[in-house]
Formats: sequence, structure tokens, C-alpha cells
Amino acid sequence: MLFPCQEIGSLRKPTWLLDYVKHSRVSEEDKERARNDAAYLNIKLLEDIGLDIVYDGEVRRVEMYEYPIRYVRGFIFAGEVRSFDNKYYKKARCVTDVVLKNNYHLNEFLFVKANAKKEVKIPITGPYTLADWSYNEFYNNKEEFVMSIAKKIIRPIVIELVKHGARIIQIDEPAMTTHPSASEMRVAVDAINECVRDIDAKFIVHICYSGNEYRALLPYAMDINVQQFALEFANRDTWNLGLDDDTRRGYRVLREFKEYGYKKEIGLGVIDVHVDDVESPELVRDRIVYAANLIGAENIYVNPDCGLRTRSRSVAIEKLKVMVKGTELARKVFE
Amino acid sequence: MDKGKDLDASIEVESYAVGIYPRSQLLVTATRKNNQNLPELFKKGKQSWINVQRRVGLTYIADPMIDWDDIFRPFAKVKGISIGPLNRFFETNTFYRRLIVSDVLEGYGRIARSMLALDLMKEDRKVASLPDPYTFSMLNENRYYKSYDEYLFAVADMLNAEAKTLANEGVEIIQLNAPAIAYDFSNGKLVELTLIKDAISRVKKGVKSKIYLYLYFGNVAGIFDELLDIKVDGIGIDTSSTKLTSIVEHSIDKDLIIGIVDTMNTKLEEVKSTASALHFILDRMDVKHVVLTTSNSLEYLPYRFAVKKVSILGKITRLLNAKQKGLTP
Repeated sequence: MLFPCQEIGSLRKPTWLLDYVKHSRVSEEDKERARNDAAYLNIKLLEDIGLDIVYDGEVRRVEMYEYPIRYVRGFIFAGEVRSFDNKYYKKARCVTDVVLKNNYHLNEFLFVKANAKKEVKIPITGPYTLADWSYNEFYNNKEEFVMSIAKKIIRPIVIELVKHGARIIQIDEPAMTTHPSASEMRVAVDAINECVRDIDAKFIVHICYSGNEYRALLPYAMDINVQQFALEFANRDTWNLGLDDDTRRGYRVLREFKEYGYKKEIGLGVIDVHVDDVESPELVRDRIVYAANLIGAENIYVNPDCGLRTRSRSVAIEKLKVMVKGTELARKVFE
Repeated sequence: MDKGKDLDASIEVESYAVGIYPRSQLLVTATRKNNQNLPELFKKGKQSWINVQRRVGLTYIADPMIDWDDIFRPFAKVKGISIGPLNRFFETNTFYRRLIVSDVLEGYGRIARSMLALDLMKEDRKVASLPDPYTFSMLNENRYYKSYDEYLFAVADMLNAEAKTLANEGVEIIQLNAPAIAYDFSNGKLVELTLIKDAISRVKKGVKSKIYLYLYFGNVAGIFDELLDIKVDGIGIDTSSTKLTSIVEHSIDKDLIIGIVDTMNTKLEEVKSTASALHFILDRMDVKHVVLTTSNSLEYLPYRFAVKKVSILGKITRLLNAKQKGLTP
């Protein structure tokens, strides 16, 4: 089937779950039951919407950075830093050598695996991003910091997940092209390759809001031992229908991918996760068709730009439904 | 070079910290919940940061800009500008909304003023910051002006009107934040400065305040001579990008603003060794007046660490002044 649909990661947590787990009188056992319920609902929701590859909306994770850091000795949370507008994230200081306390993704993965009927893709925050979003007060340089996280934290987690049946693993590296210099990119590439070295699974790297439309990634894309890059595009695109370069300006950079001889899959971001306006199925169709004409329909997977947790659940659901409908329209074009 | 050739020990080394400061936990929570009392909470938050700056002895006091979404967003109120997509701010993990210029720029002059609580700083010597015209033009999008020159100068004229208002309201120093000049130069994307120089001159024209050009997010040692030609009252460098030792040979006939306290890392500067190193280098430089500041906005630090860093800036300044006067070894 052309254009498999996948979620990229997080959904906003249900209000009832947040209220419940905050309650001091609720036992840890009951909180875990509530999280299981929420995870189950998310899995079924994504499957019912029609996604082909699912996870649990990262419902057990407080956030993609803070959650893993909690399980790594060597970090101390320093406080909250603004990401944009009124969005913040907790940022940690690395003050000693990193040590993995326990595999923070194993139980959630086993639950999803046991309950999903569709293919499962587990998202994991990558080593470069964990280092880049932290304050380094311990390691001599960035490379040492990133590689320590790759070797001592992420790789052991990946090995154990694969041993327990994980077949598709998405390494989230939103920071990867933040520093586009060759030396920084090389550190990121080496770290990912270290995480996936000789492991039998499908690997995806997710990058978003790179600031340079992935041009920093292009020279290295084929050197990174993963099968797919899932990227954000819709945020920079117009909302007009059409297949010309100007209308589809958010996706024009794919021409450069082609020129670089890019031959891997693309997880094509077709939904802007930072606005409540819902795209039309025809707009999604045109974005897919434009990209497919450039890099080949068989290479395209369809997803939102990034996790939808910044939107209400109702908006997120509408957007995902439209994504599936638009994908069906695009399939018809290529049939 | 003659030792201590021109540094006048009778002129105090000064200090300030401009840009967006982090919000306190109270404000983080309130903004998350879109609390109805936000204007009042922002005012209290500003007062608190102003008090911190006073307490640690900074020479000039800045509005902490905690109610600015990003350094450009208030300018969305200008006629001809609308809000565009989310973009990463250079190599940080902080994002801004790119502004779209789709018509002639009009209706400006009091935009920045309206967002600064100058009434809370009536008795203070005041400093404020604006983006430099090149940074503004490069990080936002022109869909109206026929050429880049026309666009750049329209932005410069807008900033000039903003600077004039601030000057008329008693702001003594206006720092033009120029990360794009530094970043583009250090990445080989800045081919020549002539146009930028002209645009910055337009910003300064008729403004009574001192205008400083502050360069961060890139090493500008290679164009420092040319930067000294720009018609501003001071040039600033972020020492985590441009080492002070790399400009030690220049004869600096403007104020030199030194971004000495790193806002990108929680690791705290050691006051004595930093002041001693500064004293040693400045003693070998041909510069008349020095202002110490932070490497860039404090918003990249959590609140508690930002308070510590502002305090460290005050301590380094005091110790350096004591050293310059020979009061301490």
C-alpha cells in the first residue's frame, strides 16, 4: 500500500488522567492502571482513525526530554526554560558521568505491543537532543557528552527493546540540525550510528523545526544508518491547493534531497501541529502528491509535522482524520 | 602596545543586562493557565527583576521583557506586518514567530515603548534593546518591498522611530542586538557590510541616546575593524563567541561592551578569576570605556540561575573597578 500513515509521537493527555495521577490519595498501582487505560484508549483511537503505524500517544511520558532525564543518573533539573510563547520545558544540568537507572521505555512498549493490532513504532529521544537540551557542566566537550549518552543510555535501551520485539524505532532528534556546522553534524551522525549499530530493526530519525530546512542534514543523510527520516514541512507551507513550487514552498527542499541522491524513505509532515485550523483533505493530498512526484511515491510515509500534544485532543483527532482522508485521495491519484 | 595606554581608571566600568529575562515559576504557571491577572503579575514580575538589578548594583536598569513572546512579536502591531510560522532562533532551542511584511510599514514609533515599564524605573539610569535592522530583516520575511535594500531601510526607519521614542523617554543606552551579523559572518554568509552600516546609521540618526551594536552567536574578530567603522557609540562582543584576546590589538575609539557572563550554561563564572583575567587583558587594550554585560538574553537560563548570573555580573563589575583603581591586587 502506498503512503502508510503514522503518528509521530505525542498526543495531549486526557484531562481525567492528569487530574487522577496528581491526586495524592491515589495509590501508585491505581495511577498505573489509569495510565494503562489512557494508553489503551490512545492506541485504539489511532487505529480507529485509520493510522497504519501506531503507538500510545506517549501518554506515560511527561515530556520528550524530561521523562528520559528522570531515569539517568548524572543530571539535576535546573528549572524551566521557555521554548516559545507560553511553552516551557524543564532543563537539566549534567554534573557527573551519566548512568542509566532503568529502561524507561520497556514497560510502555510491552503494553502497546500487547494491545495494538496495527504495526507499532516506538519513539525514543535521541542522544544528541538529550545533550543539546541540557547544560553540560561535566564533560570536556559536546562530543564526549553526546557519545556518553549514546553508548551508556540509548543503545542499551534500544537493544533491550528489540530483544522484546520492537521492530520499528523512531529516534527523535529535533536538535540534530540545530547546529549545522560539520563538526556538530558529525557528532550527531556518529551518535545515532552508535545507537543502532548491528541491531536488526527498522530505524527512523525524526527531526523538526530545524531552521535550515534540513540542508544541514543533506550531506549526511545517506551516512546515517536508518531507513527513514520523518520531517516537518507543513509549518512552512501555504494552505492553498496546488502542485506548483511556490504553493508547495514548504516541500520545495525535497528537490535538493533528490539532487543529493537521497534514496531513503521520508516521513512526510503534512499537518501543522502549531495551529488549530484543520487542513482540508485536498491540501493533504496535494502535499503528498507534490512530494511523491519529487522523491517517488513508494518512499513516502505520511505523518503530522511533529507530536500533536500542543493541540487539544479534539483538534488533534480532526487533524489526524483529515490526514488519513487526504492520504486516501493521494493514493487514488497514483492508482 | 603600551601597557594601560588609554584605559581611564577614573571612568567606572559600567554594567547592564538587557534582553528577555526568564519568568519566575509563578509566572510560568500563570501563563500556562492564561491567568486573568497576567498584566498585574507581569508588572510585579518586572518590578522584581528591576529590584534584582538594582540590588546587585548594575549601572543601567533594563525592563526584563518577560511579557515579550519573542524579540520581534510586538512589531506585529505595525501596519503591514502579520504573524507567520514558528522558526528556530539561531541554534537555540527557543523559537519565534517569523513576521511577514506584506505592505508598507506604517504606524510605528511607540511599539517597544508600549511594552517597556519605564514608569517602574523613573529614578534609574535606563538601558533598552532593539533588534538591529539586519537581524530583523533576515529573520523575518519581506513580501512587499521590491528589493532587499528597500526592505532593510524600511525596517531601519521603523527602528529609528522606536529608538527616538525611547531616547525621548530617558533611555540612555539602546543596544541593537545583532546576532545575525555575527552568525552570518562566522558562517561565511556575510559578504559585505556597507549596506548594513548604512542601515544602522539610519537607526541612529537623530537619536539622543547612545546606540550600541552588540554581536553574539558568532565570532566577529575577522571583521572587528570594519565594525569599528560603524557609526554607533559602542560595539559589543559575546566573549563565548569572540575571545577578548582576539581583538586586543585594535584601537577602540568607542565604548566596548563585553558579554562576560554566559547565559547559555548554568555553570557559574568564578568572580575573582574572571575579574582578574579581564583586568589583565583590558590593561593591554587601547580602549577608553568598558561596559560589562551578559553574553545574550537571560531567557536561556532557568529563573534561579538567571538571578545568580545577574548577581555575578554585578560582582565582577565591582571587583574589576576596584582592580582598575588599584584598590585590590
